Amino acid sequence: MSRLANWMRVAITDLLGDLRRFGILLAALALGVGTIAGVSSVGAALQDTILRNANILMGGDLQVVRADRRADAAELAYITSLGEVSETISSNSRADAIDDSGNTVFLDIYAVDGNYPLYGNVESPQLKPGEKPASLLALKDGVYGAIVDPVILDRLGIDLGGHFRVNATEFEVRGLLTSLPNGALRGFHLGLTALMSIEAQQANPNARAPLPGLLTQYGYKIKLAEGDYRTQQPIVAAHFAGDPQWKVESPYDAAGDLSRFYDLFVRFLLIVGLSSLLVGGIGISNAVNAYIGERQRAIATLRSLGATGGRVMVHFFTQIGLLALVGILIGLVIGAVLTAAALPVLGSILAVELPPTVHFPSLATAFGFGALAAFAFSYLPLVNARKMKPAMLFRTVGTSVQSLRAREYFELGVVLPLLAAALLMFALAWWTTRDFALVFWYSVGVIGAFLLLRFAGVALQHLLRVLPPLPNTAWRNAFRGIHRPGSPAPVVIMSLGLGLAMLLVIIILTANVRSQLTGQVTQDAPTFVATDMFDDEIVDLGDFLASTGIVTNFQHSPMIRAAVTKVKGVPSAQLRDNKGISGEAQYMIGSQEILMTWQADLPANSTITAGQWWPADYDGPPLVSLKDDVAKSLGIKVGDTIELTLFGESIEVTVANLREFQFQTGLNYLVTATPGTFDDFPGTNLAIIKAADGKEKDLERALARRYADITFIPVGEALNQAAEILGQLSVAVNIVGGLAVLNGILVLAGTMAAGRKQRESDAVVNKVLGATRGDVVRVFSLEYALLGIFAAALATAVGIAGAYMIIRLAGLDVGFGVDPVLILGVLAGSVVLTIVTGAATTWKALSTRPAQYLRSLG
Amino acid sequence: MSVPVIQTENANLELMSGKSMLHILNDVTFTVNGGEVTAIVGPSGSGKTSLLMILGGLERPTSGKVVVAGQDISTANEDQLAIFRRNNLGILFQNFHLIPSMTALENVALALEIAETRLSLKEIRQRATEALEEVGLGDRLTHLPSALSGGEQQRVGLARAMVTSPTLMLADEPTGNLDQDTGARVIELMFNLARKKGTAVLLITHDPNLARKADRVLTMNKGRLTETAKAAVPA
Repeated sequence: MSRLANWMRVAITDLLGDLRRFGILLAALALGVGTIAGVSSVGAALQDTILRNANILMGGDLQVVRADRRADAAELAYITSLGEVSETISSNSRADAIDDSGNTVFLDIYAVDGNYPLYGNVESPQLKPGEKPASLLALKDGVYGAIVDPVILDRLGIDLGGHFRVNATEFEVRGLLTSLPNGALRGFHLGLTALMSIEAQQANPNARAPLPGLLTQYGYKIKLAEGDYRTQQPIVAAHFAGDPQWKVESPYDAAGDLSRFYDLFVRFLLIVGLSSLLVGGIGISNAVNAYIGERQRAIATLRSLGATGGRVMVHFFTQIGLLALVGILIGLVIGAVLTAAALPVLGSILAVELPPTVHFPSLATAFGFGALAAFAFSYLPLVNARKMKPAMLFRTVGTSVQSLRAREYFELGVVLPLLAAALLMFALAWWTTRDFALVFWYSVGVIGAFLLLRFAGVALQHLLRVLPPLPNTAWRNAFRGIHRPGSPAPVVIMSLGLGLAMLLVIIILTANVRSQLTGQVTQDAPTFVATDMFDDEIVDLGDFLASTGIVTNFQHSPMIRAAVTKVKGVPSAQLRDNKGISGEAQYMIGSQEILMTWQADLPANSTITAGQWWPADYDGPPLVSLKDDVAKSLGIKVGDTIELTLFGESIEVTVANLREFQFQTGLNYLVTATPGTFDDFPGTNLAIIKAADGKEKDLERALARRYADITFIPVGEALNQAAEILGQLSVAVNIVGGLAVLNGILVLAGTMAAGRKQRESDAVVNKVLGATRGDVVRVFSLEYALLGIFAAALATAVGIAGAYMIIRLAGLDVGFGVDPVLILGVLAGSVVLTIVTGAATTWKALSTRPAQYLRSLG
Repeated sequence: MSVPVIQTENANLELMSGKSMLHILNDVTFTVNGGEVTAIVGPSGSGKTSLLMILGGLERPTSGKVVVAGQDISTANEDQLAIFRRNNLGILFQNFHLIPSMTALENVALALEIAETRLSLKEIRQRATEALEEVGLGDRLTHLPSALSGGEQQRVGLARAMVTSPTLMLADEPTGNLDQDTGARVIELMFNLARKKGTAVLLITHDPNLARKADRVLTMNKGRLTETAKAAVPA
């Protein structure tokens, strides 16, 4: 034991004299561990907060909800028998200024009773801590009170205490809304929030949803008198079993969607963090390899003096172990600081209170990942050190490093520890993400990418070796630099390729998620949508819009509201419980009516994927065209029938074709019928309007003045709000991605360090033979440009495939696209970086007088 | 009268060692004529290799004038010195300094690739092959340095130094890492090649037998260079 301690003491003394060279190893580990620690801590805090405060976030221990009406007396009696009850109604409507300014704003109305909130507090400067809002919402002097989002005041041009109208009902702004206790779980809503009383909402005759999907929700939140949601939910659900319109939710059901969304978000970030650590691992491996390489003469000297292989292994293992520990600890500090800084910011974005805390289990996980990665990636170079032969002292073959022979990689002593480390990392990743498939496929992807890049490097070397020598000297030497014995090309290709592939995965995923949710929508979305317009109103609107000169697009189409009540003869109600049906398809067969249209010609921006569009003069039995993915989700094929119900009557229609389209790119409906299908029913029109940039408010005012009775829903504004929130969330993705990029650059620098001595030596010999600095740098630059381009091309394929697989396997509900300009930019940047790094490491040697180097080379 | 290949006047070299300044060369003044073989002898650390480095443009003198092949190299920059070397010099090192990842042929061809940019690859290979055949390594063209003995590596070094037919060959203890017989063969080859091509040779050596084979012998002692009669070289 004392002998081992002695060996370790010598190792530490040896290390202390040579600390500067380990910057890359420390940084690679610290960044990787810091990313994992930060991401998993933030994720855990988010999950804990959502689940721990679930009843506050939902506003009750249980809630029962329906979309078509309030509870009747018997139902209410039952609900109130369960405990204290608070009724809420969510709806939308337009608010107008009382004056003749024409100022208008689209409201997200949240109507509450006197008991609201059962848990938590409504935050408003006009409310005392703990005070319920009912006192400010009551009817006084014929005017109801409202607590509103402060932006509403700006829109209406009024101050606190000012008045506005929702249809015929007048309101006074008595408070400014900071937050609702259940704000986070209310999810996405259109319009600016206004809190009002149930009576005020009911006084508003415009009860109809202005757009399908903007349903009025009638909710009853219950603070249970007895038991908790676990015992009461089944009882209440059984009570309402006869009426499927009632939904009985526990806080965990309500929090579920939000929790699942963030869970997915956090798992994605964790995978990025893990990738960052793995790529950093390559950096660790390169750094340790370079270190062992430079120490090989010292090792050989030790061996020739009688030191055993084990002694050498302990020496370097102690050094690397100690350094790894320092790197991991720095990483944990980075992770903890990032978490503490990120949580309050994230909390404010998500409307959830997230105090700055440190999550120790997450730090322990990150420690585990860091230690395993450090071991796995430094083990081979350490085995190499153990196996170095003292005979090399007697050879003068330059500065190339001895490495393991192929069969030595398969010795049990080499393979088993590596296998154990890999399995432990897999298990830890599985335990952390709780998603075996994701971790399994991710591992397959990483191993596949690793092997591909490793063998591609060897294949490139082989190809260049068998090619006839090129006539151009610089090209010839650059090619030779890549395939010569001991060339670092395979390591450069693998390190750069993996780092770059991971970077591309992050960039592609981020871009896809963003463009799906925000980018295209906000670019193409109309500014306003209006429904239920009569034919004469549409004509008038068209003339009016043309006269304003601030409208860039105006389209309209006939519309009618109908419900899809049967699919292939099966009642829709029976299909709704099928979890395999996509969200959009669920919406189509939901209990509510949806908007449908009829049309003779194929709508613009849509493509037929099955069947045929009907002739323009079609006059046969009713046919419909359905959205392709929705029909497929419901198992509907061309020739199948669906039943539509409207105005109390049902009609059966046959599916004539399926189409692909994006709602954002024009007027498209889930169900489009042949002209004549709805002739027996009163149809109206839907209009979409796009204002010129910056003219949205002017148009809103102009429309409100001219069409007081029509609600123009500002969908563009709502989508912009959603885009803003998503934009803020994607900052987190960008930070993690940025850390990963930094790690990739470190890896590259580490790779260059691996062959630096040999490169310097070769450069000096070239210079002695009369090559100018420009000559030498030109050849090195060419060599590294070739390597960079080759690695970048492989990384592009691996990165795109990886991103595609993650989107499919992780079930991210986004489309898949690749922005070639972005990809080319990243690739060009990386190639330039490779060349600059490669040339820079040689320039120093070239700028020094050769005598100095020749003396040091001996 | 032969044109001088080397002319130095009061060349001095001072180098920092830790915090103290070492005076390596002291007012070195000497001349070597074209085609002349000159040996420099002297104890270790006397400044022989430093002088050779200065003459090869690998080190810059602190003061004094150094003219080699008619070019004042004491004021040239790094790239001018590189071009000067490729056009005028061949250098042979004690430790060979071959590029370990290149074959014998590639190592020799490299010198031509740098110096003779107008030659085609075929011509370069042809001349490199001939140079290796001249040093008796015609059957070792594709061997890497690690597969060659010390003597063979030094002969590759010699072929590389001579393949460009330089005006001056600088040889820094070229036999220092070789046994006596092998060393003698390498020197024999070097002298023969030099005489055949009219190349002046400046040879640094510890071996008195070797020094006596030169046309002239100079002795370096504590940075000062003096002419020594060949007969006075100790056996």
